[in-house]
Amino acid sequence: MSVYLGNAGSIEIRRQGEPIQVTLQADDVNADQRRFSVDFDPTYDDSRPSPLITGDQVEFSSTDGETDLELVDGVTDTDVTRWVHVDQTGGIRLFTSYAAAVTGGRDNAVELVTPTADQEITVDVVNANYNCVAQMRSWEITTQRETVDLSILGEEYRQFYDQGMISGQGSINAIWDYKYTPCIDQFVDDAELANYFSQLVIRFREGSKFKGAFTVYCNDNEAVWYECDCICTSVGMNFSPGQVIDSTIQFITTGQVWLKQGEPPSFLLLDTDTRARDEILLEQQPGAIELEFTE
Amino acid sequence: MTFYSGQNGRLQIDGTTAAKVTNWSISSSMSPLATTTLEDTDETFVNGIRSTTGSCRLFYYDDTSDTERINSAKTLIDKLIKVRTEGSEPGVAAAPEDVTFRLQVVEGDTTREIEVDALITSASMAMAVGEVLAADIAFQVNGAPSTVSL
Repeated sequence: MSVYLGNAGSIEIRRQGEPIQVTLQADDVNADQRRFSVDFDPTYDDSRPSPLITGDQVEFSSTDGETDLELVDGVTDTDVTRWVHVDQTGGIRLFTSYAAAVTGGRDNAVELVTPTADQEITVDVVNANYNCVAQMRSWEITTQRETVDLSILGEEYRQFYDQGMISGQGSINAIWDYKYTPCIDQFVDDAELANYFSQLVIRFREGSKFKGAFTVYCNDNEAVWYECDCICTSVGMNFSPGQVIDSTIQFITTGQVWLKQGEPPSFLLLDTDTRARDEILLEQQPGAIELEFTE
Repeated sequence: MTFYSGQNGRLQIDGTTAAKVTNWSISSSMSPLATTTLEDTDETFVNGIRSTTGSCRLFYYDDTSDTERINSAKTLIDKLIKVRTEGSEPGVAAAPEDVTFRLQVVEGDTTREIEVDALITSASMAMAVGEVLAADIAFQVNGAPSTVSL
C-alpha cells in the first residue's frame, strides 16, 4: 500500500472555442503595422471585447472552403493557423508561437497582405497543444452520477436506478498572474496563468470551454489523470491586505469524463514548437490522433 | 400509536395488485349549499354534492418473466386510450373503460382501504433524460366509494 501526496497534482489545459463566421474587410488589414481587426458582431452598434484571447491558436479560413485566404504574406491556401495577440482596441497580430503571441509587438508579428476585396472567413480557436496552469495552489475535481429513485409503495428500502447521468465539476485555486516575466518567473513561458480564466469566463461568442487534463499522479513512466472538456463557470478573486491575490476558478465538465492511466500527457506527441523537445512532427488538427512519444 | 408511510401503501386495479406504484392520492370535496335568508346575521349551509378525485403514478415496467408483476401503467393507459374501430374512421373508437381502484394501507394481515369505481380522466407519460419512464394517471370517482375501511 502506498500513500501519494498532492505534490504531483497538476493541470494542463487546451484552449478551445467555437467557429465564428465573419467578414474580413480589406480596409481593416494594415499590412504595414502587421495588424488587422474583425467586426465579430456587426449587428451590435456598441463595441464589445474580442472573442479571441491573446495566446489563442486560431485558424482563419475562407468560409466557402475553396477561395484562397488573402491575409498572411506568402500563404496561398484556404486557411492559415497562427497564434494571436489581441490589443486593447481589438486589433489582432499573428505570431508563429504561443510565447511570441503573448509578448506581442510588431517586429515579431507575421507579415500580412492587404486583401483585394472583402472576404467571408471563419475564425476558430483550434489549439493543439496543452499548457500547464501555473501558480496553482490547489485544485479539485468531483465526478458524480445522478440517481433515479425507483422506490415504490410497499417497500422498506429505498431503491435507485444505477444508470443515471454522469457529470463532473471542480475548482482551481491559483495565485493570480497575467504575464510571464523572463528571469523572474519559475514557470515556463508557455504556461497558462490565472488571468486567462478571468478572460475566458467573460469571452463572448466563443464561449468558455477548455479541454483539461487533471493529473492525479505522475512519475517518469506512468501517470494517472482525468481528461474532459470543461466549461469555466465562475472566477472569483480575493483581495486582502498583505495577502497575494488569489483566483478561484469554478468549472463543470461537459461530455465524457475519462480517468486515464499510462504515459503522462506531457509525453504525447503534439504540435507544439513552443516546447524545447524534439517531438515536433505532427501537424495536428482537431480530431487528429495523438501519437505517443518514444525516446 | 402507529404511523404509516409509503412502505404501507398499495394500489389494486380491478382486484389485482398494481406493480411499481410510486404514489397514489385521493381527494374528496363537497360544495355546501347556502341556506342564508333575509334577516340572518350569519351564513348557513346544508351539505351539497360530494365529488371525489384521485391520482397515481406508476413506473412503466415490463417483465415478461414475472407473471405477477404486470405492467400496470399499460393497464391503466389502455383503459383510456383506444385504437380506431376501423382504420378508415378516425373519429370512431371504443369507449374508455371504467376501473375499480382499491387504495390500501397495509399493516401485516390488516388492510385498510377505500374502494372506488372510477373513470380515468387523464393518462400522461413523459420521456426525459435522467428520469425513469412513468405514467401519471388521474381519475374521477363515479359515485360513492364501495368500501371505506380506514
